[in-house]
Amino acid sequence: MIEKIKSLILIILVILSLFLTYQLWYGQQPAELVAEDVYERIVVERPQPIEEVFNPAFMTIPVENGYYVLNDHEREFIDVWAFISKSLQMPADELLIESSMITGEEGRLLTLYFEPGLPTGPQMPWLKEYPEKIVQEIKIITKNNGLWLIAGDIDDDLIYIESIRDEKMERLFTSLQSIYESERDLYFLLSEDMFVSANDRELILPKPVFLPIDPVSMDRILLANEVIDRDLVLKTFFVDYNLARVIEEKDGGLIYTDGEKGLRLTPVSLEYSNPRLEDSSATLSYADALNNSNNLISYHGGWPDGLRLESLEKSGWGDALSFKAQWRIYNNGYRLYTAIPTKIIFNDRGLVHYSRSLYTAQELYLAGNEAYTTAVWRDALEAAVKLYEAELSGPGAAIRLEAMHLAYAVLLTGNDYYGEPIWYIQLNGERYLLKADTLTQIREEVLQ
Amino acid sequence: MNLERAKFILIIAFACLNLFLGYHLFWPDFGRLTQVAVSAEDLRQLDLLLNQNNYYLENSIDRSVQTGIFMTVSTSLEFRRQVLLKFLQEGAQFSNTEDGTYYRKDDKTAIIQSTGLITVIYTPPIETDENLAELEQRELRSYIEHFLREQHLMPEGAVFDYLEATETGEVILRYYQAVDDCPVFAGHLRVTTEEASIKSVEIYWLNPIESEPSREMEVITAAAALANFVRDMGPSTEPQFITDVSLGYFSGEYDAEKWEIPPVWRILLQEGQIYYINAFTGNIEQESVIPEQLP
Repeated sequence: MIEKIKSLILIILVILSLFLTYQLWYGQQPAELVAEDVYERIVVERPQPIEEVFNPAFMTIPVENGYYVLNDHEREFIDVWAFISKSLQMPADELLIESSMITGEEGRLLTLYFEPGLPTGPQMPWLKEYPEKIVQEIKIITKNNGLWLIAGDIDDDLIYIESIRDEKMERLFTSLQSIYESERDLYFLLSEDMFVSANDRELILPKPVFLPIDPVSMDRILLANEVIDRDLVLKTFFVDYNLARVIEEKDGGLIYTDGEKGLRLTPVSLEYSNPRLEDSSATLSYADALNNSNNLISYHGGWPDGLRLESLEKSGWGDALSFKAQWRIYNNGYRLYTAIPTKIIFNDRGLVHYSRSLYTAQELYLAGNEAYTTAVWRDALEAAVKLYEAELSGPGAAIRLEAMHLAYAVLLTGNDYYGEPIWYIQLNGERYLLKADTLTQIREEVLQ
Repeated sequence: MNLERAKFILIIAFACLNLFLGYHLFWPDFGRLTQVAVSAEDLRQLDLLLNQNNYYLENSIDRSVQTGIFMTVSTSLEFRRQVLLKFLQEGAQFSNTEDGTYYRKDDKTAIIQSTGLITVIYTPPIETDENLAELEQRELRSYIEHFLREQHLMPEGAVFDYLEATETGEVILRYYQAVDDCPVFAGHLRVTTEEASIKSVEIYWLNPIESEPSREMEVITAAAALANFVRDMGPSTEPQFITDVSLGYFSGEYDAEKWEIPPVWRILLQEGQIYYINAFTGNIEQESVIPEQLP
């Protein structure tokens, strides 16, 4: 009997030793080590050089009876800007001091309007020899049998004037020639006396507004939302993403948070916030802020084709200041308006807020109506003023027309995202999106 | 050598081998049983830091090494169903508003918010046979728990937490949800009373779904949590007494399918203020972290 017990004990001990050996070899890590191996090297898109992603808002070319307007991401716009940008990056050949030549419209071939302004100075690629300055306008004029590039205005303390020499002149003329020969819509420069509202409100124009003289033909376009690499984006926000917990929303969205910062990912957008960083100052220069915003958007999601920086401004209260940068996708020169803006807010402590929702055009959208012509500018402006007066304002106050242009509103029908042509009008800070043909209002809530 | 002797030697040899393997396999965790994460010196330093900033620790803190995981939860549909069934059986009328769904029957209204928060309001408040303000804490609890059971408003796993007296004369009984004996502070039950009446009951109850043992991690110590708390809050102008520091789980209330909640150190001050320190990251848990539409 004792021998049988001994045999049994021996068998148990042998089995136990095998089990323990297996456990020791393949066993689990101690708990405190689990979090240690999560720091990963990640490969993200390198920021695009600033000179390749910074563009003017639009260009105007005076022609008989009006202007041609070139918007960002049109082929001709890209050609002309590439030439001028390169000229501004070269050391100046020749300077002309005579300021009388920069006044008036006479001899003007082309004007470039910047919004945000073009930064100059040693830190920037453009006009390196000049002090730090923000240029809002660049003109190309012909005078005294020469071609001249003028950066800045007569009221500015910096005026850069460069003579465009023969070989460059030829290239610019070639570009302009193809624009002159193309069939384009004619625009005019709106002036304050050209519009009087039904209630006799005065019109104020804080900046130049160019509008098409005649109705424009536009197509609805089918859109595809940007597909965000969720894993990669998550890792760009959370160094140790093991410490981030997940909230699965009812609409399919996912929120990641570590209690300090939060990231919401939906099939069509990304939103991030780190409220603890809000109380800080923003001491960066405009040029550094521009570079920083470019780096941030490239790092957190990349720089897709058609994207353009629309604004960069410093705002806040008291000591809590931050930079706010906003981008928008352009399709064939028209902006795409989405429900969630692509915007970054940052300060000296880092990225405070970020939202991103981008779409790209796929093809013409023919499931609805065929292409149609837009309503004329005066009707569109009247419709917007009527909405403004009905919703917000009492009688008497002047109307500040801050923006007016044709664009696309991103809408959803069934499973298809499409761009609906609209008149975009901004009055005294209130924005109105009107269907370009019928001028019925598109509410912000239906934007995608 | 006979077989008996050989067996004996083999038993001794394998027993030694097993001891050796066991030592190497389990030693770190054996160490845990006796190891303290907060030494006496750490405690002295913590006391000094707290006192310098006008905070005073009234109770002892947990000094052991602890681990935690993310607990996955959803709002408890089962409990919500029970409450609503009772209301509907009594003939309640319901209506939908922006604030939530209202179920009204005579003097009581249940409001169900999209997050799953249930608020039952009695208008006028239910009169009680005794003046609740004069009862001892144990008697008050017993009275209120009996009332909650009668009303089908006592979820399973509710553990009494503490009493809070407001400036307006109300007394609030607070309960938290316990899952496997672990406090889940996110799940809560609050009963508001005033003298001889019960005014309202607020319930937010969670349904634990699953947890991933593979994501088990060591949590920061209670001392580290308190040090982070003082660093974030800064010095207090008035003396503040810390009455309780306990480990549990906490998150905000979400209108979501399911979500993970982290282990937290809950710091309770005498005045009733509560702070939650994420036991993985050491950050104060904030409600406003969830991204919102940008300004």
